[in-house]
Amino acid sequence: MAVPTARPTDSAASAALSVRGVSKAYGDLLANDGIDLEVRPGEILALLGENGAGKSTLVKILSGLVRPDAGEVLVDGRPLPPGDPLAARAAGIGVVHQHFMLVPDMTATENVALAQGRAAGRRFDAAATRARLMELSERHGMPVRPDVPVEQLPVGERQRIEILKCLLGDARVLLLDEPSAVLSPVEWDRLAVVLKELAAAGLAIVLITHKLGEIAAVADRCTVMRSGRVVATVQVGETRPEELARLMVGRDVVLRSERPRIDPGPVILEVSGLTLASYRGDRDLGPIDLVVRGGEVLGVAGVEGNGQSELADLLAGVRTPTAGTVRVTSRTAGPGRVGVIAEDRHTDGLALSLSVIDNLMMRVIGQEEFSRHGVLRPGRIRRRCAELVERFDVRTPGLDTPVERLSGGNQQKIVLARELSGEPDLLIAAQPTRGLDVGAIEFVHGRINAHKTGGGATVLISAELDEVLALSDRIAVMSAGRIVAVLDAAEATRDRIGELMAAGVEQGEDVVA
Amino acid sequence: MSRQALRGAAVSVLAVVVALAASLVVIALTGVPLDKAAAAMWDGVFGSPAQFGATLTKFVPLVLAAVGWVIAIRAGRLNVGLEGQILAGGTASAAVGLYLTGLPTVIHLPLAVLAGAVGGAALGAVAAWLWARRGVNDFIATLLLTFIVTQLVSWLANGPMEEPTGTLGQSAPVADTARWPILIPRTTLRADILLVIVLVLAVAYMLRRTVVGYRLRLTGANPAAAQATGTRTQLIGVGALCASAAIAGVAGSSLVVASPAGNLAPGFSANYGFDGIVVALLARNSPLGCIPAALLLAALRQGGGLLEARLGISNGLVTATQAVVILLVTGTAWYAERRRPRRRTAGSSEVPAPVAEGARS
Repeated sequence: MAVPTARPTDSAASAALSVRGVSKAYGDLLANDGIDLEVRPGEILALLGENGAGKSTLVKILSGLVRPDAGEVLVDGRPLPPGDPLAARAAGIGVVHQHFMLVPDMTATENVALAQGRAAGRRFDAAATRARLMELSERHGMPVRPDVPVEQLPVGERQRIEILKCLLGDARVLLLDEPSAVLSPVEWDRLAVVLKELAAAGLAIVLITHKLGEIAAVADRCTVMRSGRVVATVQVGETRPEELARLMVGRDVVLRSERPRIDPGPVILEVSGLTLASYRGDRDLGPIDLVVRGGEVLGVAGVEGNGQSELADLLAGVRTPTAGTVRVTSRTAGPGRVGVIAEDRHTDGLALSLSVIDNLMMRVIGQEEFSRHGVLRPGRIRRRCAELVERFDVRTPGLDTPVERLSGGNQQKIVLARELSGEPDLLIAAQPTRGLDVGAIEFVHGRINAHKTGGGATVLISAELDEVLALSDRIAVMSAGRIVAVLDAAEATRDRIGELMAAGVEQGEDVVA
Repeated sequence: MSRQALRGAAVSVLAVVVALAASLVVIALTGVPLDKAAAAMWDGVFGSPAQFGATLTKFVPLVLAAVGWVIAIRAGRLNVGLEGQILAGGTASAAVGLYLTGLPTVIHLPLAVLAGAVGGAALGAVAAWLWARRGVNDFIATLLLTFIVTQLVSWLANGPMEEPTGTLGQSAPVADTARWPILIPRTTLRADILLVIVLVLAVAYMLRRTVVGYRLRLTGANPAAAQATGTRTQLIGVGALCASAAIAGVAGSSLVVASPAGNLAPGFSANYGFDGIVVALLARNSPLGCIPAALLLAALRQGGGLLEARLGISNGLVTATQAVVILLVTGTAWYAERRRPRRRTAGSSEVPAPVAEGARS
């Protein structure tokens, strides 16, 4: 296959960072397969790829945490010794990891000084470090408070500290791994401005992402990775988002799915005065009031860490609220049934070392159909699981395969099969597509829509604003542990939700959904 | 048996072979001819019905302790206090055998065995309570209780429960009605081995084929997911610790009412509680796997005895061999449990074959 390649206009010699033929295998898996890319000073290169495309491995190789099997990394034309993080930093590679590398109870100044402290025994000059930090902070328009422990700072500010830490280390190449994951749209816009300015000042920037919108906003060129290889490098200005998506996934993709509309049925979920004291530091969650009807999807949008995870736990009954009630009314007789797609399927949704069968049976094992007098009925269990595997299109070598051997998408299908096969009245879907590839995302969205048209109520909690917009009939915006607004799908736009996410902190009013 | 289980078994067997080879090297270095050492080892284990009976007698407490460990570890609990629970169970069993008299064997013996189970479970329950209600680490709780019980049993054997003359530092033999009958004449092997086999099979069945066993495995594999889908994980944890301790208690009972002397002596647990963990390790926490693994370690113990008696090779060699087995098995766990990084994606064209493949483990 011919790989379209947009080259930087200058010769390779002027590249700030160039990667040549880098390969890395983990067991049978080729995580990186002959990667070539380069970034010039003053340029922002987007590195686009799905989960599992090999972006993280490449970042680890560039930052010296992983030694490649083959190939080399050059900074300013000089090869970097492989697998040496200190050398990578000294050469001018600065990395802002998705999960920040900051000591929580140290101040910005101390964290920055910690990153500088290569000469053991040398005295730590707090005043000088602080002065340099503030100077850079001002010059690049990245306000930070230097004397507050970083655990008390908002995520956006912590991210700025990470960037400043790199700049103070004289970084010439800045790698940012999914920087928007923890930001509200407004904060991301601010960061985009900063990144452009830093590039204008001569820095080479690599932006790792899987979001197409961000690339259009800041990047000059985009290198697309798929299955460990570079499949294309294109000029962002000349490429349509659909084309980028096709390159990333390897086939045509429907970027927006059709949302079915049905008339809302009876009230299924009724939440009143739900409160959880000090869910994060001294911040309380709630009080939250919600009503969700059958055939309705209520989306919950918000920047991560604003109480959505805790709300999901309270609704699922995993945590006990400090005050308030959650009432689930059944569409039929009996108690209301709740299905839960846990936010982190590995820690809360699946028993990875157990078989497909064991994972499918968690909720129903005690039912007469599958056990009698405490003894399992293996024949019926197998038939049932085979049927579920078929119906939910789980690709597995067998029913006895441990689920840790399956791909993320198939693992999530097992969760869906388990939670939806009981025909729940209420579905709580927390980050249902996190870490999934596009095909699996389409499947999950289809299932949520099917649950909805079947008359079930859904609470969808997602950090992906596009997902919330695509599936929800109403959208609740959370900020600082509260619901600050509830919008109808018709009036909800990215910008409007973005404003509410950011503004909610100051408003802090209670809203009844 | 799945491929993973086969690979695990292969690793265990290989570890044993390597460890035995290593001990042969050590023996060779001491200057003892290898053929004589091997012969002594062989004679020690299989040389006569008496020797083989003694091997099987050692097998009983080993396999019980191992299966006890397996029950707890499958629920995610670490019961390293099997040794203490053996002591507690054996003491309770001895008390029933000594002080309840005038009963027929069909009542007295089952009572003595039951007392062993209850005694072990009682000690396990203390640890379980500390874990569930007081947040004490189960490893710490079970281990420290062992130290207390060890002293307690020593005091009982030298004090309140000592034989009438008060000079031997151990109790009088329990009533004949509380003792297991000898299974093979002129050996130490008694009929308790039959009960033990039944118990091991019952535990294997429980884990594979019952709702309780399912919930126990689920709790061990991921307590958060288990809890979220309706399993009462704390109850399972407490139950597993108690059941584990009860089985250790039965082992303790056998060490008293199925022993040649049939009495309570300090230190009668003879490290079986800890060696049981080694057996479980070698068996990779499979209850049925504990049978061959316990046989092997029992043979090592028994054969090592004759090695020392006949050729003067220290019994410490057996301990060292066990240690090598432990190191090799734990050191190669990554191989048996290796995860396949290769993944199938949803778009792959491979068609799954959801067909029945015999019994599910």
